[in-house]
Amino acid sequence: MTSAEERTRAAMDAITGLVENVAPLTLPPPAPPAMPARLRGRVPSPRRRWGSWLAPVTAAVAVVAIAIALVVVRDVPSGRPTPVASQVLPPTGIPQYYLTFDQPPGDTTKPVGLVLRATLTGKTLFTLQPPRGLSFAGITGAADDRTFVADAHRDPYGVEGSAGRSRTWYLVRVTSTGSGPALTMTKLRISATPVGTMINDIALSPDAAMLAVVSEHLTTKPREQQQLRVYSVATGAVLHTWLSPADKVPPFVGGGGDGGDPNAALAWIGDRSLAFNQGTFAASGVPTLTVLELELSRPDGAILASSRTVAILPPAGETGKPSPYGCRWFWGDVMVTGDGTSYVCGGNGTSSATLPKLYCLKHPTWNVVAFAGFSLTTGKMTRILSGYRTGCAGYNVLGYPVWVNATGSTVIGYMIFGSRNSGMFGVFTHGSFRPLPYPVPGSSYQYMAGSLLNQVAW
Amino acid sequence: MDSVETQTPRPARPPAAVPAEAGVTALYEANALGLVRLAVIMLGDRQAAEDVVQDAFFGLYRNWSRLDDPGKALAYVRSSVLNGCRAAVRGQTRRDRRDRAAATDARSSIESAEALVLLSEEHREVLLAVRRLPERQREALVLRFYFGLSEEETARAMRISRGTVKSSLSRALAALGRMLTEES
Repeated sequence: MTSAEERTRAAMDAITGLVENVAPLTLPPPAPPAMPARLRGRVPSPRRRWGSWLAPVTAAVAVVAIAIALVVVRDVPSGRPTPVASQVLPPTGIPQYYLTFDQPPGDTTKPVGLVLRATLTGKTLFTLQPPRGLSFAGITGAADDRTFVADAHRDPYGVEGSAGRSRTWYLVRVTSTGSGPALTMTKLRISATPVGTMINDIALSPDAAMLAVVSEHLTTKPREQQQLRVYSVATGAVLHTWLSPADKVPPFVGGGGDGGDPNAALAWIGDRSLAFNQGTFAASGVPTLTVLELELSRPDGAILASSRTVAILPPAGETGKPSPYGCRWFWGDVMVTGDGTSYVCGGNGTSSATLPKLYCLKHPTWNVVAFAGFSLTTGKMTRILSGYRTGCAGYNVLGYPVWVNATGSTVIGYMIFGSRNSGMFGVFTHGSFRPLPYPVPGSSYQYMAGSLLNQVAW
Repeated sequence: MDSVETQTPRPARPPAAVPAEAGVTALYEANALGLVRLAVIMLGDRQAAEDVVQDAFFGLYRNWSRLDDPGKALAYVRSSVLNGCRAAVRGQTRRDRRDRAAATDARSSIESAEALVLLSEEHREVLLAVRRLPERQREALVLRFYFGLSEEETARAMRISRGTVKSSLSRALAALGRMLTEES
């Protein structure tokens, strides 16, 4: 095999990461039965195609549009459009927008608003003020990078330390205006959470039709069980309720509010299942992280009885010296992909001979890995998304994902060189890296566990 | 590597046994992603690539009832995609030029700044070099190396002889080797 051949094959393979889905085929009405010529492989002229089929296609589109409109109006008592999200990402393969708060978590001087920013440039595109008297405290996004749910609470202001206050819920959507994108806000019919309820996690389904909320009631001992509720975004109705085990100390799913309500402990697998991960200690004292899947069709009630373990993750490798790659022991560092086939893990450790290639390196002397993908079916590592050659940064490299695409081939995350107190934030895919502006203001390389995740929604 | 799905296209079902819409849709779902990726490599433009592939499946749909050999359905679409890519590359019509310009304006081209940065510099250089190859060499290279077709299948898709496939491939690799050496 020649060098040119190897390089060509690798470059062509890299295209795969850029094109991961195609628009569905929309066929016009059947062709007339009698055609004069046999199939010869000619592509019909687009002008003729549209010229002859424009009328029936237009009619069909009109019928479909009316049907959709009827469904929309029926589903939402107020007559407002139901949230419908497209799962098609821009050609860049990463979301175009993200949502964050308009002030650092510790700022309690004014109500917290929401900011829409461009992922590639970090430019602020729109600022949405909270409803009068309220302050935003949590955000979660659908799959289309322009549909979000945010929750808000009453004074005192500030995102941090907002646990226990009553929450009201809002649908936030990106709309186009003549001067660029804007945000609109619609109050949802989801009941406000009672005072004293701490939000452990929020997750909007990919199609924005359902909102999963994990919460616990803050009481004195003994602490109460956590509740996982799934709400209809359109009607506010509670569709499902599960409870954490009575003998486990909360939080069973997710954590407490640290710089915003947590939004990464739950992941939707398509629109019919939820995945969550748990950290436990084995008898030997070794930390173990387990991924569980909860299908919405399973009975309400005990969450463990309705869930199944889909993966037990390898523990993170030791830092500072060669060790097998493993995932960090924290709920936000493992992200199950939307297609339900794999998870991407932020962790650390060195690679081994079983890893065939690390694209970002010029020489095959690499061995420090930050992001890796694992199959949920086999538990084996299937992808390396980032890494560094020994000597570039020592062995102490950590990866923190904040967004992963549906197949696990692209991750937005933060790779930190622990020994240097510096890092790289951006898009990691097949070993290549594209830097992005750090998504929130403040000290970009002082990552506090979970705090960045809670402050951004892609 | 998740390109495997594109390298093992699902065999087409007999067209006569299924209605045109179901048959073409099934074939599209099984093969469109791989064909779009192929067209992206050929054209360097995501939007144009999707247009070419959609056009190819439209062509198959319109001619479904006269497809006498079910095994030809995928080969037909593949050839149509190649034809479409040739037409787009040559810019034969005003419409093609306008669409490409629009695609560039909309920053949907794979050559746009956002998309290119997702490829490493090494891969960008190689793909740009591939696109500078003569048409036949480029097609042979993509069909063999990316789509994983045999020489025989490549010959059928390109409607040339196996010998021509081999020589085109050999010349393509030699030219690529020269271009990449010069650039580095």
